[in-house]
Parts: sequence; C-alpha cells; structure tokens
Amino acid sequence: MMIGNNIEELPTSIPSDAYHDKHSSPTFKVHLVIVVRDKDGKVINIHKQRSHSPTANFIQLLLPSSYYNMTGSTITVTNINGSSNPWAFYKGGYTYPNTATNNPSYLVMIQVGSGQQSNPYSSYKLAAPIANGNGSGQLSYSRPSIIPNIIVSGDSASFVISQTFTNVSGATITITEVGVVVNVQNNGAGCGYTQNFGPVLMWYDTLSSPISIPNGGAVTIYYIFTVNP
Amino acid sequence: MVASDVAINDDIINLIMPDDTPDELSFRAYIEAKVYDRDGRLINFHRQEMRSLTQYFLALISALLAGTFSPSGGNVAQPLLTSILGLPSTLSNSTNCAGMWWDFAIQVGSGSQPFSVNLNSLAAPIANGSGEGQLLYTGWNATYTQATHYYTISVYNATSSTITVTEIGLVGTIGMICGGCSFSPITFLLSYDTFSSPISIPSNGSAVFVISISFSG
Repeated sequence: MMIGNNIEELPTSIPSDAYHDKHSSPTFKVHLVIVVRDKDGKVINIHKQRSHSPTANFIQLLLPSSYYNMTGSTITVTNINGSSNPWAFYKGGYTYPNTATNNPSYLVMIQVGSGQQSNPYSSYKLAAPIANGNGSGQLSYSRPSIIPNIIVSGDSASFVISQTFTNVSGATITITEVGVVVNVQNNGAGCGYTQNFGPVLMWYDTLSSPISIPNGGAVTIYYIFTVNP
Repeated sequence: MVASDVAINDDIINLIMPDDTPDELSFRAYIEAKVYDRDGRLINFHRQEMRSLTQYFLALISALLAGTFSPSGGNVAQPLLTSILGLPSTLSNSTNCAGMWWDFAIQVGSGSQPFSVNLNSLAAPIANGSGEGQLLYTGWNATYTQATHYYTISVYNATSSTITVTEIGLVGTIGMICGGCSFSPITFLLSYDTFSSPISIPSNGSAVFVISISFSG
C-alpha cells in the first residue's frame, strides 16, 4: 500500500459548510455574564459578552494520554505565581477524590482584575489581579460554585461556574479582566509521582467594557460553557 | 444588603441571546477525510465542519475548568463528573494516590442517527478487522500546534468490496490510576457527525480521517 502520490490530480471538493460564513456557527461557545448589584441588592448592570480565550494551560492539558505515550513529550504548566513544571499523563493523572489523603485539584476562583493583556493564549496570570479582602482596592471573594447538572435545551447543553464578589472597600471598584483559576495536582501510579502545580489560569478574558461595582454593592460572574448553541 | 444570586438555571441562561455579540470565531472544529485507491492515489478529499459535541465533551472539559474535587470542600468529586460521566464521588482505594486520565480515538460508521447531546455511540460502528464490512484501523495519532488539536485515524479496506463511511465520532476514554482499587475505564462519545456526502473506500484502498479542534484564543 502506497499513500500520497498524485495529490495534484485531486478532484477536490470542499463542501460549503466547511467555510466560515454568516450561517456558520461554532459547535462550542462560551459566554461571560456579569450581574452588578448596588448596596440595596438591586440589579444595576447586566453585562454579556462572548468569551474566547482558553489559555495555553487549558489547551495543552486537554491533550489525551496517547499524545504523551506516542511522543514521550511533556507540556509545561505555568501557575499564576510564574512557577513552571512539566506535565504528562504517563507520570500520573489529574488527582481524583479518594478515601485516603486529599490531594485536591479544584476550582480555586474566578479571579477578577483591573488590567488587561493582549495575548490570552500565553497568559498565566491576570495583568492586575484584585486581591481578596475588604481594604482599599479589594473585593471580598465568595466561594465559587459549579452548577450540579448540565443544562440541556434541545441539542444544546451548558454548564456554569459562578462566583460573587462584594465591595466593602469604601469606593467604587472597576474590573476589566476575568480568569478561571484551578489548582492542578498530579498523582502517579503507586504514589510514585505526585506534583502540585498550584493555581493555574485556565481561561482568561478582557471585558469589552469596564464593570464598576459601587461601594456596598456586589458583582456575580457567570462563565457559561455551551456545546451546540 | 446584597441579594442572593440569580438562579443559574432559569434566569441566567435566559439572559443569553444567541447572537448577542459579534461572532468571534474562537472555536472551530473540522472533519477531514482523504481516500486513496489501491495504488495509493488520492481519489477523494472531503472537509466539513464538526457540528455536534456531546454533553460528555462538556463534562470532560469541566475537569479542567472546574477541577475534579468539589469547590465546596470535602473529599468528593465535583458534581458534573458524577452526574454526567457517572464517575464515583469518591474512589475507594488504600493509598493516597488516585489520578484521572483520558484518551481519545476516532470511530467511523456506516449508519446515521439524529443527534442528541447524550448520544453515546455511533449508529452502526464499523468494526476493526478484515472481514466483510470491516476496516482495519491501522494508525492513530494525536498532536497539536499551539491552539489546535489534531486527531487522526488511518483505515485500510482489506475486504473485496467498497466500504462506505457515513458517520464519525470522537470517542473519549476515562480511566483512573489508583492504588488498591479497581476501576474499569469508561468510554464516551465526545462528538458525533454524519458526513454531508458518503465516503467510499474501495477494496484495498485506504482512508485517513482527521478531526481538528481549534481554540484560536
């Protein structure tokens, strides 16, 4: 069997739906919905935008084990503190809850910031993260949550992660960037290899317009991941 | 006073309009098929968009976007892994090492069926072999270039008849590395598409099917 001759003789035909056009729609979309409330709990702003920025960490960590087994390669995971470590499935797997020691890989937070950066792919941290706290320039981070079930609507399905931030700083705070941060740990067979990669930025967006949270108010951020929208 | 969160299921999903923002084509997925005759000549090239990711794809990426442990604390899995993938809440084992891995494969078939997000198999998978109606799955490759994953399967038609492929799926397998436990890997259908025109592979011919998934960032 020989493959590859006479490519130039191809009766090539590319169906029209292979091209980008106004009728074309990606099979996967992510939306960012931000709801701002004033000190009385009244909704004062709802911001919606398309989210479009998985980081290199996410794209590479999604690779299947056969990629590593066939190539012998590792990828480099860089956490929000700038520390880098190699990852490969043949060194272990993404930690999973078990009856012994807890080595969690978990959603740390939806992090918000007041900066922006132009290359989300290579971003490993927010440009100017807003710290968790009640001091000047800070927001109080609540615990993030994950919707317990996928929302199905026809052929479409979504899952949602969200987090609320309260502003008790004494002044209005403006956010311009948002990211999803997950703590990543790797466990190997027979405990032969365990690596804590720390908090890793998986998704990053700059906001299409700044969002201001008044003193005493709060903002809830929803990341909505949808297939077949 | 800050009001409680808007209920996710009803209110927030309803806030999202299908075309609420300019169409930023940040995620594209394609299926390609190249068919060669018995002499290795390329006789067909077909390319179309992949349109149909399943809920299992969504649940798999939730492991990266929301972790494997519940953010509420405790030694239990986050809910999408248990509710959609059916993974255990806590993996029973005798050591402190449990790790989740996944692998992908491409499967082709000769049937067709309506899509649903919980579809978990092809309508008529073509088995690996050289018997009647079968294809030899001769090679698998997974690679990436920056923001695009490429998954490739090569097949060879060792039968005496033409075999026609009409459907294709990206199949995911999830397994566990653990000490002192038993866990059989589970297979899921991550995507399902029917070809816009059938792909015919002649006797002693071959084909290469490629699924590419691009995150442009």
